[in-house]
Amino acid sequence: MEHEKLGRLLPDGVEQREADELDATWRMLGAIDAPAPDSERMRARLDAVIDAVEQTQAPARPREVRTYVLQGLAAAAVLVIGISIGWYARPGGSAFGGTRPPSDTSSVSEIAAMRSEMHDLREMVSLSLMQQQSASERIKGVTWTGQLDRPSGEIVTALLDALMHDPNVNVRLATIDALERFASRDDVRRGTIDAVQRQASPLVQIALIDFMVKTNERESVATLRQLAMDPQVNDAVRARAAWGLQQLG
Amino acid sequence: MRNMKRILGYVLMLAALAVPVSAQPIEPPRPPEPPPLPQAPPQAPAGDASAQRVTIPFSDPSRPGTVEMDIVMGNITIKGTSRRDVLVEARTGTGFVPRPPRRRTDDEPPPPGLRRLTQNGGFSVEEDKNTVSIDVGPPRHIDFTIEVPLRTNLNIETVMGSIVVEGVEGELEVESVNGSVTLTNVGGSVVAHTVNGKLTATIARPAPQQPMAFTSMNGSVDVTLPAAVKANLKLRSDQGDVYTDFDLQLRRESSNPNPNPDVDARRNGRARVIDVDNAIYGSVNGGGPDFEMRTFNGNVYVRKGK
Repeated sequence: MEHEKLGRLLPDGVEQREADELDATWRMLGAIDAPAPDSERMRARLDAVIDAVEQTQAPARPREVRTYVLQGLAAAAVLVIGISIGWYARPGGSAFGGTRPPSDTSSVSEIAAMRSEMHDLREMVSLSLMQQQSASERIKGVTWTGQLDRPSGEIVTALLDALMHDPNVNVRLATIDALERFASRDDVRRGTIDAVQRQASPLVQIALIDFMVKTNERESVATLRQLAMDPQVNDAVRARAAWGLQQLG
Repeated sequence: MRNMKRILGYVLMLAALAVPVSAQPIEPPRPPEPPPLPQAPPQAPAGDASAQRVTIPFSDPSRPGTVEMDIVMGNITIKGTSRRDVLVEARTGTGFVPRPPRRRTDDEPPPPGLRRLTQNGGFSVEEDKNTVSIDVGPPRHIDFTIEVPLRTNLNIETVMGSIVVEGVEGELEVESVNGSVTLTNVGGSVVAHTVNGKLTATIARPAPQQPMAFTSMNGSVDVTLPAAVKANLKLRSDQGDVYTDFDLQLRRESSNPNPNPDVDARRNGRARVIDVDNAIYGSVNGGGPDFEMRTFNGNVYVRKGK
């Protein structure tokens, strides 16, 4: 329904995918909890305002309903506008036979600006999901980084931080998959080698050893050797480290 | 003209961000909340001599609350019920743990004329911002049976003990080191791990678009999902096998698009591709959020529920 409405509003030759992605972004933004205003003073002030309103205005209900309808309409309008901006901002129809080629350099730079803004927005969503209290949301944030074209250093730092410090084993496991595409970065190499020694979870240690082997990380050899020799380390981890050494050797 | 459009674009984007934020606090006026009830004192055990019961309300029962606990020794059983508060029932465990040197039973009556000042049972229950936290002081073996509202988020950890969760819907985070984890008839999203135990989960109502993870190091992972579930599965057992009766559309790549994982393997000039990742990626019913099921020593079972 939304799409039909938009189809009427917008120029031809626009790409569905882009709109859907935007749509998904908005939904993700919606899913982020707004900080609950639970300070007692706010509560008291709100109560006072509510009391005052209730005393002065007898029929409060129709007003509420109207506010909700207005809010709903405003949200819908803004969503439509947001999607149209996204559509407008995509580069001049190159993917679909060029119905709207960029006319001058200013529009090109404008599109580039919009793109980078969208990109920033997605990064922001990933980063804030990674800060959520719920492990499931944090996993979502971690996997979402996979959809970023050129993630910033901030994203990589956040992933490494989660690998080191996230209290949940499953979140840490997910970051190892997400870090694979950055395996050539120095900080990722150092971070993963550091993590393999310090991890408390054998499952995460094994996943990290596999990561070293998969990315042919020769700098990890000394660390793997240490792991393989250390009698304190879980047997399966030691065996995996020995296997990793063989593979890298 | 172009500039105007750009400025307009910025303004609208800001507006788009502002709407959900500004829409948030305007809620229908609620009656002022009653002051939080004082914590119910531990009640005298009824019937069962070694059990202690504490009930504690959530400050806002209209929203799903959270129960969190991180204990060292003891089994934890959590049941979703129609109640609106949390009932914690604790039993000092038998066996497993060396008894403290000075033997004292928790239900020991106070000497005549004296009343006991220390907290009963060696555990404490607190509520803050809709989160109930259960803490055990110095490690001792206590088994917990906890009744919670149907919709409750859980964050539960134990080292020496098993965890059972029945009929709870919410964000369920469950972890044991040396015990099994069993989730029955749960809903929402599950992120569960055990190091040395078996992980069994029956998910009745998965939350849409929420990733889940079920992992173990030395136990099997056995997950039953609704037949109509939409999900991308990542299945892996290093030393065992993977079984399913779902119609799995196998995919080579995960949903996490990894443009070229082998590029780095070649960076030292040696074109060498090592296939380490023996995970199986597949989607059911057209795909959806990522569900990871993984164990090192054991089998992975993904079953179709009714």
